[in-house]
Amino acid sequence: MKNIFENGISQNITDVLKNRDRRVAVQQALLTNAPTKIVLAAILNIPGPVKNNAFIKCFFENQLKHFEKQMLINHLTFVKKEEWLDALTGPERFYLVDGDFKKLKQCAVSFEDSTPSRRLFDLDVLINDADNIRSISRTELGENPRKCLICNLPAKECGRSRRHQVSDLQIKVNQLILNANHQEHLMEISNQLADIGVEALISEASAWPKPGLVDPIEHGAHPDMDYFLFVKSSISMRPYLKECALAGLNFDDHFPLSELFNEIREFGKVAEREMLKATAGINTHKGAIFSLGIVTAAVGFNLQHHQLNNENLQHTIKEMLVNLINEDLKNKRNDGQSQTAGIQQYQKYGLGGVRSEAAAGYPVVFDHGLPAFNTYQDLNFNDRLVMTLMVIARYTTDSTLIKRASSPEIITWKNQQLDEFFAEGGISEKKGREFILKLQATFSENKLSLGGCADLLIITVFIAKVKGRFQKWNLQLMTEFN
Amino acid sequence: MKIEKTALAGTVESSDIQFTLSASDNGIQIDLDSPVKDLYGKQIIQVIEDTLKAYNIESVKVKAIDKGALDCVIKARLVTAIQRSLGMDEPNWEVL
Repeated sequence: MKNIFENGISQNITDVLKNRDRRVAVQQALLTNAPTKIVLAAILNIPGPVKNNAFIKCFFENQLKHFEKQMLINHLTFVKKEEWLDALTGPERFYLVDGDFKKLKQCAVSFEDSTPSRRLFDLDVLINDADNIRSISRTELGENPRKCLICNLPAKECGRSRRHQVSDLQIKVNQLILNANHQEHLMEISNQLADIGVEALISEASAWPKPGLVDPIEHGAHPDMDYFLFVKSSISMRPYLKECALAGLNFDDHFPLSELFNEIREFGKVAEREMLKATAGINTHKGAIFSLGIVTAAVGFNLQHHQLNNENLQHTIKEMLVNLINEDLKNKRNDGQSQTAGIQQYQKYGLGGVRSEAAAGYPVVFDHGLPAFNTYQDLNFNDRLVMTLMVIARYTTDSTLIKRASSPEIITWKNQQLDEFFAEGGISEKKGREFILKLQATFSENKLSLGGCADLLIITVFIAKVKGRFQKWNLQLMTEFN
Repeated sequence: MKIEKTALAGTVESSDIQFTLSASDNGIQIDLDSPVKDLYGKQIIQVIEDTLKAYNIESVKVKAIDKGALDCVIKARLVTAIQRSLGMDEPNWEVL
């Protein structure tokens, strides 16, 4: 493990005491100017001569965000009044708070005691008690005194007796700060992955024209849906995508990856309910919940353990889904339960739908979708999405299309149509544009759908965007922590 | 040497100690208030006496409010208080 104390400027006792005088002066001034308010002074207890650096500052700021949330939940209104994040004697911040000072102290104590690393925080609550500035102690509220980082005895005793070596304390603090920063980093990445996921979902829905799909202009193939429903449904999936990302980021690679899939499948059931709640019962994104969830978790796993590239990603997906075909498609042959188009067609025609595509590691996405998204990068974003979708559609045996046409022969017709579209020069050419608009009308008249292809476009866009954002970070994340 | 001018140093923050020095009519008088007085009172007073000795101070009233300060903090805060009382700018660290 890295040693954060290698960086930073050593402080001596005079530096520390001078800074303490400065802190007390600031606290006094704040409470003299606003005698009815409460001051919350946040500092860190960092043993040893180095008391601040990039790691320590990052830890301080990230954790205080959590404390601020706690204050909000507890009806404590605060303003950040002053902060010295780069002070060599350690980062400091002062809040002016409105509310009950006992409640604030309780909030501070429970924060300090909530995780091992937050034990490093010293959150002092100060009030102006008839011109006497005093701090509220833990014992005043009947709380236990703070405990030592190493042996859990009261901290004051260990401090006074110098029971522990500074080097031992530093080893402990190093570990606490690195772990906490790493967890925050993963949380941040999971938020970004969820955002990119929602962006991919909304991008797909926004692209026009899309034969057999809902777009902002036309949704004849799906009279029960409109574009706005897709926006709502996309947003409802954000918490789920974040969970999938975290599951992947935190997955222990000593276990088989099929366990990762089992884990996110449970999240997926909740996500389906949330989607149906958002759309008043209409299935807009069931396939996307399945596919984008898998891919998001796989991306998370690769960001943590491997390099993020197509090969590793595809390998992870295959490993995650190694039991899918056997367990899902074969076992459900005779159970007569409500079935997806994919399951019914597996039984009828031996076609596996999205499950086969997924279990094979989404070959259409990696072999056709992503290369097409790259090929069309000079088009405007709408046209780039449409062209990529058409390429995906050309190579997909879409189970929703077969379901709507009630025959797998529709695939041959679809392929002929798309070949003609590409022969006309695609969306950038006048003829090609006319062709695709006509094709969309034909799909709408016959209520044909390309729902499966839409999901593949979504994960294509997601993977392309994620790679753009994370390829450099990935290596940094791996070297920083491992 | 006698302390004649009243001087203050330190804070009542946790792990700190606050000293108030003033003139004494009866040699060195130390009034210590500390949560760890039973355990460490003697040791704290020893540090105070040693520091006063290093400055050759024979007459002073010392009021100390301790909040669990370590010896090095006690010494540093007391030195600052003495300097302030004697009108010196920088602590005379060599004498310590």
